[in-house]
Amino acid sequence: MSALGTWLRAFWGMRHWPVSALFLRAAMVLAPPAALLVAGVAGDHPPVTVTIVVASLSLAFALAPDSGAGLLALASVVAWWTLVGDDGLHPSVLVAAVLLMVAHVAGLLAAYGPSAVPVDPGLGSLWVGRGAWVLLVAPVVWWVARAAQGTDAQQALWQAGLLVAVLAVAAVGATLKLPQARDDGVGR
Amino acid sequence: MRPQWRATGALRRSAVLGAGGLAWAVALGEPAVLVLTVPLLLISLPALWRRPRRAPSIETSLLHASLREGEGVSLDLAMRADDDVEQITRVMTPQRLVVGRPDGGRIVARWPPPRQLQVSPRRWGRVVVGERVALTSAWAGFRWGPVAPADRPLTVLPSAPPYDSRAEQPRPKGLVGAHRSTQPGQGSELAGIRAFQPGDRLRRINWRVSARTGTLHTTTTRAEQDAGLLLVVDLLSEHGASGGVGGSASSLDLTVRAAAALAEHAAAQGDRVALKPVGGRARPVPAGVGRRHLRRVLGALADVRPAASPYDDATRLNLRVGAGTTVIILSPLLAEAIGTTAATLTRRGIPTVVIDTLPDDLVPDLPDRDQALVDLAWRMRRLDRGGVLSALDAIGCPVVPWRGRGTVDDVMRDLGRRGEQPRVHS
Repeated sequence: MSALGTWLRAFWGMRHWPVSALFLRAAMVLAPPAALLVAGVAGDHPPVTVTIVVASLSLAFALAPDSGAGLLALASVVAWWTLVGDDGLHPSVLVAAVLLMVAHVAGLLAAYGPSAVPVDPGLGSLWVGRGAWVLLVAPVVWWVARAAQGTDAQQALWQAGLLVAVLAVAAVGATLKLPQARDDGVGR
Repeated sequence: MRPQWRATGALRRSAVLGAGGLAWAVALGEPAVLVLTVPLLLISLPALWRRPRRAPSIETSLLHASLREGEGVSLDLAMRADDDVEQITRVMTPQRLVVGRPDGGRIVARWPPPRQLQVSPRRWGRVVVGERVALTSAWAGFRWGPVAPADRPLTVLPSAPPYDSRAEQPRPKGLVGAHRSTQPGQGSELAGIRAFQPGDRLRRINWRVSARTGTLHTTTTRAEQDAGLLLVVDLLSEHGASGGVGGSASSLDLTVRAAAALAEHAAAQGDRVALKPVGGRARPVPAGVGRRHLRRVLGALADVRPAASPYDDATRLNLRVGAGTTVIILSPLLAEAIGTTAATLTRRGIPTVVIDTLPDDLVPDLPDRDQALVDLAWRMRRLDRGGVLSALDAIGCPVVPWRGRGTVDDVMRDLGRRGEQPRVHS
């Protein structure tokens, strides 16, 4: 009941939010379901129940940008794309990748501070640039995967990728468990 | 416990999706997942690579320890070991009648921020300025805080509304000062020309008149004496709601601001100023002169708090008024003790003026009570007050509403004229 009350208060308080904050929330709410629905272009239309689940998670993500709802929403979209049987490498997957990045960056900017504060132009431009930069890799990966599809080199490619993936997961796991921050010796 | 850098939700999201998606794509042979998650993995890698190693230390400070209500002061933040910091969030602790800028006292910006928080108290008093600070490392990887740096006390002095008075103090006394006395003495104001008497100074001889009349005449001047002002502020109760500077004013707001204006004017004239609070929580200030003493009076005014009960301390009112002192009582005149005090002082021949600080448009704000009963009680209270005002008028104690510049001019002149008349002590 209290969680529902918190959400209702958050909805009511949106009236006073600046346009940039509303824009971020709109991106967080709409981008994951849109990335899901784009799979329909590739041939597999998501059922209504899945769409509702993703939309609900996206809504929760917009209300609590630092929570795990965002991870679940984005993971649900990625999971659905694994079920796209006919052509997983349809060009529409690039659109989905962009939408996922938009949702992620919007959530990241929204989590910086209180909801009613407008987005700092410096931070906004910084993250738009970063997002656009890392998105450049998506068409490259898509093109390589598309080129390697159905060839003999695909097996070796996946094995190399597996090794990289294991190392990356190990590195991420080791880093997230951060040791105690060292005191620099300067007291307040 | 010292705050530590912790992974942000964004880093968890991008790292888990990126790494998990990569593993999933490789294990299950799903290239589409790779396309979707590799950008997220790439965004998490620099955040992990540049994870912070040192805990920063922050310290906030106010540019000034005291200011006038309505003015603003910068709440500066200094940070050491800020190498790992990319972004800062500052949120001022919200308080009634304290305005924060920008965006209500909230800053979300890249480090270092282009501007500091600004604090602008809208009402006199003591304010404790606090805030919470959170920092984010490069690529939004790790967050430090939010932490609350030490609160900063701020004294908000009452703003003195424009006030000036051209009336002289009714009965100045003493050897030196800025006020023209009714008595002859060493001054610059011409009192008259009279025949020379033994003891007169030779440099006072008026040669022109002496030559014309054939006998020695001297120019006499009025003495210039100092005066004192005793401000009696009624803290027995507060009536009306305070909306801060530029908003609605409660009776206590009017009292404190009027007292500040009168004290400033008197101090500028070189007069002695004393402050005597009645009821409530406040400290009296003995008579003194100068800018430093004025700061003391204003500081005491900033400290006043209304009494919990309207009958608090009223019976122990004992005013010691020195010679040459004018008493100005600032009160909404809803307590009988104040009227009694004003009447007693007037009967003792002490120049006394009452400044009425009850807001004109005041109506009781008791929504949870029977309105008919509230209206009746308020009318009875106003009738009592009317009786006090009539009684004061009958004994010659002037009561004027506070209207800023020139509020007490007319009554001061009346009191001055009255002081020059012979008095009969009964």
